[in-house]
Amino acid sequence: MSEQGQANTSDEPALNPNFQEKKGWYKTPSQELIVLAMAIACFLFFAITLTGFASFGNLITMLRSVAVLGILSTGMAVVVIGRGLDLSQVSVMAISSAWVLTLMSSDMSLPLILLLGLGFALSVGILNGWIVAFVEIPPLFATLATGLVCFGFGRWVLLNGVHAYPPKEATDFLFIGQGLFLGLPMPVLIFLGVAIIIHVFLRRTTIGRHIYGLGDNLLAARLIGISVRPLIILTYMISATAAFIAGITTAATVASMNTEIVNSTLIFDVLLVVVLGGVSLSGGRGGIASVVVGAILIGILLNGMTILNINSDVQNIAKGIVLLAAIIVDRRLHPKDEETDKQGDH
Amino acid sequence: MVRTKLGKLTSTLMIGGVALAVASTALAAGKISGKTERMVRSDYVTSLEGKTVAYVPISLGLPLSDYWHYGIQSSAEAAGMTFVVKDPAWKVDAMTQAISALISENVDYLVVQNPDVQVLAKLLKKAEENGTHVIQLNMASNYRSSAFVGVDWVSHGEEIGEDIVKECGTGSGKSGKVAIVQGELTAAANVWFNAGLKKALGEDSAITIVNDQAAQWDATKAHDITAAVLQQNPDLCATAGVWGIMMLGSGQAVKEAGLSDQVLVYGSGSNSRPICDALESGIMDKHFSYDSILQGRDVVNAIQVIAQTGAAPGEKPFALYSPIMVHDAKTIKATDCYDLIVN
Repeated sequence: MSEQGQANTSDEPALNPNFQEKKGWYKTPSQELIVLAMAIACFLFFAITLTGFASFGNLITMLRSVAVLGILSTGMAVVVIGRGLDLSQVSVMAISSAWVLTLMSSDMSLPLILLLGLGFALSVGILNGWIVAFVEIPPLFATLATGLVCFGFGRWVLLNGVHAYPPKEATDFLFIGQGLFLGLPMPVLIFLGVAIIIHVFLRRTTIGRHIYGLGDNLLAARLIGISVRPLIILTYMISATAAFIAGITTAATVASMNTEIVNSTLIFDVLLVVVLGGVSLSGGRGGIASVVVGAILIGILLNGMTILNINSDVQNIAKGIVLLAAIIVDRRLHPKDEETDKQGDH
Repeated sequence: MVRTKLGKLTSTLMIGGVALAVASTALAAGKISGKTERMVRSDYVTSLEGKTVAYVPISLGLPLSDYWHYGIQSSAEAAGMTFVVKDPAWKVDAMTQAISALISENVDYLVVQNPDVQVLAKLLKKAEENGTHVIQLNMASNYRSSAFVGVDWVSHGEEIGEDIVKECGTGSGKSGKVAIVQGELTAAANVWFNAGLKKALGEDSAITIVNDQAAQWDATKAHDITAAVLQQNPDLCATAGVWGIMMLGSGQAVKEAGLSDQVLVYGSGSNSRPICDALESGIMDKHFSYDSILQGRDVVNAIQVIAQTGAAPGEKPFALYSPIMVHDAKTIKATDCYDLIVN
């Protein structure tokens, strides 16, 4: 797993400015291993101090509580590995799934409704990718804006209110969020499924490897013949799809969708998980295993603090400190240079 | 036979007599009321004519604020006033901007739902100094304005607390463990509701509050908190929170844990369709409801009284507390809830 933290595009040191970093003393152990060690340490701490923390039931609850965060993060990771950023993800998640809930009161069939919701999410993803790849607007600003447009459009055109509810009869739909399969809650299985698919895609397919190349060095990737612009659009489409899946899972879990999550700290939690696991914001590094580890650490922290009855404002402070620490470690491990600099960084 | 005939005669006479009496009273009333009625009516009309009511909730698009919207708009327009609504969409800065704009427009009546006790207090004071009557709706601020319309939160919390004590406290044979899900820690409704709730729960030593966390009005957070609490306390007796829509998340967590029969889920709020659905399907056990459309009408009633008595803004502050109805899974009927309104 540790080699996932390394640069992947080029074996030639001249083409890869980060190649030399491998020799630095801080390169071992990788950030992913540090996070894993932290997660294990936190787990042991809570397991010893809190009765019932280490029970199987609580572990499942813990995994379940980060499943949605994990699904979003795997999608975000693909974009970040391609040196992008998708701030519109939560907006896409909220609006596409709330629209699905709203449509469920009509007489359309569930698969058709789900396709429509996915179609909406994908169209925002394509728009994001197109603006970033072809109009060449920095993703920070592009996705911030499309997120607002998506929310505004959804709120005034597609939805009737801030909250959406499924009709009372929709028990089949609720299985996605509340059901158990092989003794595991559906959201956990969906998270694992999405993580495995994206992991295989990134590691075992040519297109997946090209995304690493794109993130590590866009110009070099273009020079060796990768069509980078369609590839950028693809990364945003994957992120939007993950957002849709996360939205449907949330909606089916609590039988409602609160589009106000757009104004919550969720998108920062997603970035926290992505960066925490060692997916560098400068692109080209990290993998889905890192994201899973990051999500598990956050899950352990949140679950432990909830059991300790620490109020949510203090929990946000703790999350903030962890994010800050992760970004500082990221910067130490992957120093910026002209090549990895992005617009909006300064 | 004679008797029946006599009876018939008497009853006919009686009906005739009553009819005569009614007619003459009506005639007399018409005579008396002619002038008074005209005075009453002209005072009413002149006091309300051309007046504007502005409504600024935390966000539109929620059952609660949409019902208020409907209640205030329909009653205000029926009374001959102009109705304006601003939707800050859950953003405090947009809310302060909207209110500042309304103050500079010299709107006559400003109806505000406060997101917390502090953030709008100064602005509302400024509005009243500027000649605008402020009616605070359901969620008050630290500033006491012309009128407050809404729930008496402390006693509302107490009422739910007492019910929990009855179900889970001494002599119930249950664990006495209660988990509280708060909304926003600094929102007035949340602060006072929880003060009342904890006071009532504190009166029975058999009750222990095992968890007390804020879910920021979000059902998903309420779900995750409750799921974790249930792992820790599988013998939980009840969970209660200030807003029913948020508590639907807790209810789903209880259902997932397979503890619907044991853990009582309490909520409070407007009697909207999702709440009735949840009560019917056993996601929620008891809901302490208030009628938000009638609260909207109460707002306009308060405005009509202020207008006709001619008090200056903030001169004689008063409150109109809303009555509470208790709905539970056994007694709930479809007609107990309003469908969602799109204004």
